[in-house]
Amino acid sequence: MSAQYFAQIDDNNVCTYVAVVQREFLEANPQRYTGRWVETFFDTEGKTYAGIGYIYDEVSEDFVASVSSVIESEEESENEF
Amino acid sequence: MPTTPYPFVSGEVLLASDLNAIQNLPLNDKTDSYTLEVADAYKRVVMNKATATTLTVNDSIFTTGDVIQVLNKGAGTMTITAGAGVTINTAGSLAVAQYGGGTLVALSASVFNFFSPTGSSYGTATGGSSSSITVGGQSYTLLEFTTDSTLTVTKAGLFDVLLVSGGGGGGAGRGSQGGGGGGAGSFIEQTIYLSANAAVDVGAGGAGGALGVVGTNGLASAVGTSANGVCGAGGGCGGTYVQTTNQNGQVGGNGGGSDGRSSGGAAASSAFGFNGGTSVQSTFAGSGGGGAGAVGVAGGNVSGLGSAGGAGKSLSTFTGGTVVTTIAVGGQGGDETTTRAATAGGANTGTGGGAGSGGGTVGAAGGSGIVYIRFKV
Repeated sequence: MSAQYFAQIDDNNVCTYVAVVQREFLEANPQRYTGRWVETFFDTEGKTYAGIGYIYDEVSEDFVASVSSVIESEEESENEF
Repeated sequence: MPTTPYPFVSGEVLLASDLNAIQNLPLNDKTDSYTLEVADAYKRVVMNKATATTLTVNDSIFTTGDVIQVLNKGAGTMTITAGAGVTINTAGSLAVAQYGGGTLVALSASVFNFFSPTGSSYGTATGGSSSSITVGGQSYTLLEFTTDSTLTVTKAGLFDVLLVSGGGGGGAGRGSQGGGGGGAGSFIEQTIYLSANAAVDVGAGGAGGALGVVGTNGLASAVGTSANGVCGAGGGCGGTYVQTTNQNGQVGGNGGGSDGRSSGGAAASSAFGFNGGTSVQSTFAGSGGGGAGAVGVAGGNVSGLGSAGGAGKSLSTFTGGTVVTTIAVGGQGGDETTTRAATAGGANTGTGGGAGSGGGTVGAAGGSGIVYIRFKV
């Protein structure tokens, strides 16, 4: 059985932790896995693997890097060097 | 602290009280981890702390024949630890549970034997994927955990634990400079005493950096609690270029490598691992992340290709067998100008994520960690 990855997200949909855990174990141990958890996918094309601080988009059901981390646009970087 | 009259000096008149006193060794009480000193010879060092501690024996402190008695009356396991250049042999374990103890005998200034006639024996447990192994002629049951789980202790006692934490994410490349490779997760071996079931946490790998976005560190693997268990540290993410700043590789179990113009991250401690590489800027190729066995290779090599991550460590001394499996390798640094795609660390290897290249590729995620627990049978 391959590993599954679940991200814990807070009320603002910000990822606060990532666990390597089977869904059955996570659901059977709510005292250990408190709060909201959504699955994230490791090294999978078309999916962004969650990191702490990433934001969960409920529409696309995927994670995006924190806006505060993205502090320059692609265009700004093209002539840096 | 009371002192013993031993050693006696030439010409001294011995009294009955002197001879009686040498049967009553002074106590040296400690409430936290401690490094033995020369004055501890022929005394009893008593550890008393609710969480795990270490009792370190350094080189050239004691002379051949010196004896130190050690006791642990605290709830936290006390592990007798060899300092640099020191070897401590034992027929039992160097992990001393509550109310256990033993005697350290200096066979030379750097070689010791630990006798623990009343020491704890190994426990038994179930969980994870079980197999039978033989290491150094000793038979063990080996439990392998690739995801979070519970260790079910069926008999209290000692357990050998090997923890590998998640690798750090690789840094993205951009603007003709490669990102830094992610640091590997820490690789820790420790013997602990457990008398009840314990949580097993397998650390996730960190996310790779996107363009202009720093990746994330790997997460720690752990067994039990801070009072009775052991916890590692995730690898640091690799450096990358964000806005107008070259972000250094991050501190982690093993440090993240630098991008083409920055510094590598440090290991969280020398006990956890090695630093990431730092760019020497002959070119702007990225450095490798730190590995469990070596620092990451410095970036900026003249070829413009990213540098390799630091070497990992072999599992075979713990898991036995003839096949050498190396894990917890540092992530590869990114190339200066190519668009070579980064490679993610393998699942359950603790390997750092590869970095993106200067042509504008993203960093890859670090691999998740793994936990092994074994006990003698």
